[in-house]
Amino acid sequence: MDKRFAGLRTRIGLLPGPVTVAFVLACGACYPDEITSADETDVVLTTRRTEDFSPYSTYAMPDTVIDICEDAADPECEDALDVDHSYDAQILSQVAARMQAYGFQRVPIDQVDGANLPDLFVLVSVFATERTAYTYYPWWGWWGWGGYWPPGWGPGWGPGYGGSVSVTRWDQGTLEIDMIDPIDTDVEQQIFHVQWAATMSGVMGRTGFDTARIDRAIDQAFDQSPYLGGGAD
Amino acid sequence: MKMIRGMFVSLALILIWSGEAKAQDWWWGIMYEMSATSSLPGNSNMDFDFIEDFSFRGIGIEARYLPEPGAKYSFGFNASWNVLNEKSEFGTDRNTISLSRTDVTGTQLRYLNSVPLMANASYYFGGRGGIRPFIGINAGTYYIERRVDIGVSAVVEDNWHFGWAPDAGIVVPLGGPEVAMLVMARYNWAFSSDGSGDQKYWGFNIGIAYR
Repeated sequence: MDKRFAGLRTRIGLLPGPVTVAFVLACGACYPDEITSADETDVVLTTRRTEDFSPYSTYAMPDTVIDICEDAADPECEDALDVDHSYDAQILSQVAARMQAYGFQRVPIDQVDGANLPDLFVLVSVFATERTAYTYYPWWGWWGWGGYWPPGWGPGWGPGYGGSVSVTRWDQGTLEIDMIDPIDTDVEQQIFHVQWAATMSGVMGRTGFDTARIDRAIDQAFDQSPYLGGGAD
Repeated sequence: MKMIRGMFVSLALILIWSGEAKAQDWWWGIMYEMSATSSLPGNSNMDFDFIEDFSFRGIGIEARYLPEPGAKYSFGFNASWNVLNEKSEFGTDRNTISLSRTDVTGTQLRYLNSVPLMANASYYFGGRGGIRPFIGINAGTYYIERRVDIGVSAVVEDNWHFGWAPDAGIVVPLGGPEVAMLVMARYNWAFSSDGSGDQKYWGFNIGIAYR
């Protein structure tokens, strides 16, 4: 054998140690982080029709949190779950506190009529549903052969199309707050325009939601909407 | 498609050229690569500082042709895989995304996977057998995927970018003239492509090279 190549082979023999370390350190995965608890799935989304809330200073809010999918026969609610209403009073109280903090004055709902309209109606609703996702994972990946694989699947299985499929189901709860201007309407379309909406959703843990998650979500919705306090002070 | 075609033509030319070179003229290196974006000056893209955390995930190969032992310059190519990631908790400054009339807050998992495929030219100081500082320039393509997971949703954007990367480092002989440690810092700059802004990040690479 050529001495030069014999030397090369010897020197390559030095490489596996550092090379292995480099691979182990470097090749964890394309997506190394992960969600570690249900509360990390909480998402707060707020939308607004206007940023000028100066015309609004009063509001009325029904003393009820509506379950959007209370009617189980509604075809749009076929995956709906029963809603736990034990947090309703807390939710309404928290919303009222944040509205007051922004300077809005609450009008008792039983005093509202055609001659005594508030500037805004604040409506709070919830729904819970079962979700399903089909996710393609790299077969060699960071996730390993965890408990979410279908029965019978395991390390002996390989990729048929560049990845393997995971079927995941979870229960998701959503809390919605809508602010409606009773004057800003479209009569032809028969709609009230929603001036501000907050949608707070998250994966329900084994015990559903807790008060801390609900409080945090409502606070975040108002915190990220400072324009609400623009004209109501 | 033009970009991909150009990349393959470039690689083909390099391979044809390398086939005519003698085996001992080529240095091959395998690199462990760390990356940083906005934690160092000069890093930004047109959108925002996408990932701030330092990354310890990356790997690459280097191939350099020296026309003669102790040559002052080399030509070659390199390919890498750099993974940058960041998890921002609910309630931190960076976890609210503001769009037109909409704000979204949640725990975010951000990922940037970058695969640079570059041609390289380097100039070396010092003499054969000693520690040799070098400066170099790389030019080629980057495949970059950016992904944000929020809640149970994900937004993914991936593009091919032209780009370049100046670098500087040292070659340290390891007990002989044909095995060396390669240490370098490289500034990766992928130009904007298909609405995705310029992507820039530092690379800190260390590895073993042999011929």
